[in-house]
Amino acid sequence: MNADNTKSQMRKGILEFCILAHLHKGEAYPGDIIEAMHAAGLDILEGTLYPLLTRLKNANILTYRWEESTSGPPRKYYSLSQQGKDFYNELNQNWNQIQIAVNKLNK
Amino acid sequence: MKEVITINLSGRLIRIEKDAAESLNEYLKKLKVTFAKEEGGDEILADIEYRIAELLQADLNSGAVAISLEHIQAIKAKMGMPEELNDEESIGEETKTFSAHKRLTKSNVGKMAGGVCSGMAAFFGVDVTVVRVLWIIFALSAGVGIFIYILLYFILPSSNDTAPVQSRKLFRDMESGYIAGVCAGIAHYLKINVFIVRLVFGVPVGIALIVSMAQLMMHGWPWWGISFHSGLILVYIVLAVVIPQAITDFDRMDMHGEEVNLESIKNNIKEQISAMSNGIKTQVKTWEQDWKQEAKKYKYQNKSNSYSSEYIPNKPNIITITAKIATSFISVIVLIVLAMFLFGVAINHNIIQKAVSWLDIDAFGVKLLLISLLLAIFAVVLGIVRLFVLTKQNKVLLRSLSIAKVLCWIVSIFMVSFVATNIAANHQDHCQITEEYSIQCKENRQINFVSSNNISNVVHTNAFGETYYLMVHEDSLVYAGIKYTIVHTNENNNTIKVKVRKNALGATATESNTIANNLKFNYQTTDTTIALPMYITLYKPQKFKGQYINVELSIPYKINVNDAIHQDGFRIP
Repeated sequence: MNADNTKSQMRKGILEFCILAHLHKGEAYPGDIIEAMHAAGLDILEGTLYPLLTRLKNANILTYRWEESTSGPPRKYYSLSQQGKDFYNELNQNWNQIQIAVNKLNK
Repeated sequence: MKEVITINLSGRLIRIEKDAAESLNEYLKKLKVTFAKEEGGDEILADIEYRIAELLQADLNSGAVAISLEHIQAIKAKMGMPEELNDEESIGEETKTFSAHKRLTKSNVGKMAGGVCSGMAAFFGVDVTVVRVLWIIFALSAGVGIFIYILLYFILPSSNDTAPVQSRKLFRDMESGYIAGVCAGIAHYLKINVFIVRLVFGVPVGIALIVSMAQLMMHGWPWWGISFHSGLILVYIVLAVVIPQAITDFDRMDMHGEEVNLESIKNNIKEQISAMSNGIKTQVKTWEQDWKQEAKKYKYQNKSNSYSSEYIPNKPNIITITAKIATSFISVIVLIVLAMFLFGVAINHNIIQKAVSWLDIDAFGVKLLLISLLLAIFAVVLGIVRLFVLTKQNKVLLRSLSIAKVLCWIVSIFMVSFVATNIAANHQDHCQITEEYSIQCKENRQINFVSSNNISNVVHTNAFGETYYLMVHEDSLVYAGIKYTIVHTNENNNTIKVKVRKNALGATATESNTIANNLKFNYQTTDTTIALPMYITLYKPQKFKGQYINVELSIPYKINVNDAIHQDGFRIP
């Protein structure tokens, strides 16, 4: 059994939720999301973020708009759609349950 | 010392060492394969490219002179390797080159129709576009290609193989091209000078234009026998449609890639075929070794090749200069011919309008032809405008001019070929009806041949001072469509044999037959005179559908004829 493998499985499982959690605070462009995750101590491969964003966008969970940037070409700013907010709330409840459950088991 | 190039990545200009750029290109290609099957794969790739560009820009801003391999390694570590990014699909062996176990399959990656072409490209190790072009040529020649394609589609097993890894690709190079960049792209692919390719395309077309111009001046107005040698133009258009345009800097790198040249393609195919026919593993092993040696040799050769081709602009050789002069010479001639043609059309538009009404083209077809002519002129004008936008700074303008130009050409040629196909369909069947008459003459009498329809005002003089016979009226068309051949026979009688062959074209055999039957050949005889028609006259609603009459007069030696009869034909008295 490889610990790295399991760790990456765990990260993958919550990555989607983490993206939504960050976007719930307000719109952000991918660079912001990655920085916020690194700041929170969550190490992810950046390459995994982009497919997820696109999938969520195609599922109408996220919307985006282009914004001119001072330091380069225009940036894609993502935000939650109404459907996305509902989706987030549902996941958030689920997460709280899991958290409580895991903490109880972990005691 | 490392070569540093500047690439445009997601709208940012990145100074990067050449090997680092190649590594980055390779990485992006792998990502492309990884996300190819996913919905929105292009978008994911664009986002990732954007992020990489942003990170590289940050590296440059923090003091790096140019992006090196180390920077790229760091990026890869940060972004993750393709294998790590997508757990649903296994990436597997994609740096596959030649292996004895390779099978010919349909490919799912990079396919346009059934994947047969891309599968073959992977098998033979050539660029998929080259295979597609060959297929289209096959398909155009009697449609055999289409049939074989469908057959292969059902026979070949499909594969989950990744895209064929190919270091050089066939692209159109709009930036160094004049029309659609096809010649320039081919030149890059074969590593030869672009002017050689242009000559191959341009010389036949130029010659054909000159010839048809000469025909125009000798014989009068267009329908009298303009034959544009349009084959090569058509090939060019097909290539322009099939070959993708090099848009990104990575495309351009692929276009200039180092590994393939004409010889290696030839060798690859040769070796593949010999391997297939032998089918013995030991044999396969030996050619594999041979191939490796050859590859080494070609790598070496390519190095010297790329060196020389890169420095051609700095030290032009005699071939380049001659080719350049020849190319500009041809293009000037083409332009002059076009201008003269337009001038002629402008002056004679009344006659042309009348003449066109006699042709079997519907009004819609005529309109299409006019529009396509205007489009072609517009395309030439765009091309000239583009030449004056010399600075490469305004890339958007340059590109949009090129695109507009190509679009004009394509639409114009498409319309012309559409009308041409229609006309060809209306004239596809040729019919010849043979009639024989015999004219009894009195013995030892002088016979005079005269013209039965002597219309003096139909004689025109062309630019070379030769006469031709054509009269276009609203309701009748008169032209010298009868050709006489005289044969003096040794027969001992007084009978002149007249063999009349009436020819006509039509959409169907019945139609051409009717038209040929409707052709009148009326002659009158008196004791000493035979009056033969000189002209064919058509009346509305008849159309000109290639009607002409060949007449063979067999005259026994006993009969004396006037000097209107010559060995080489019949002259108007």
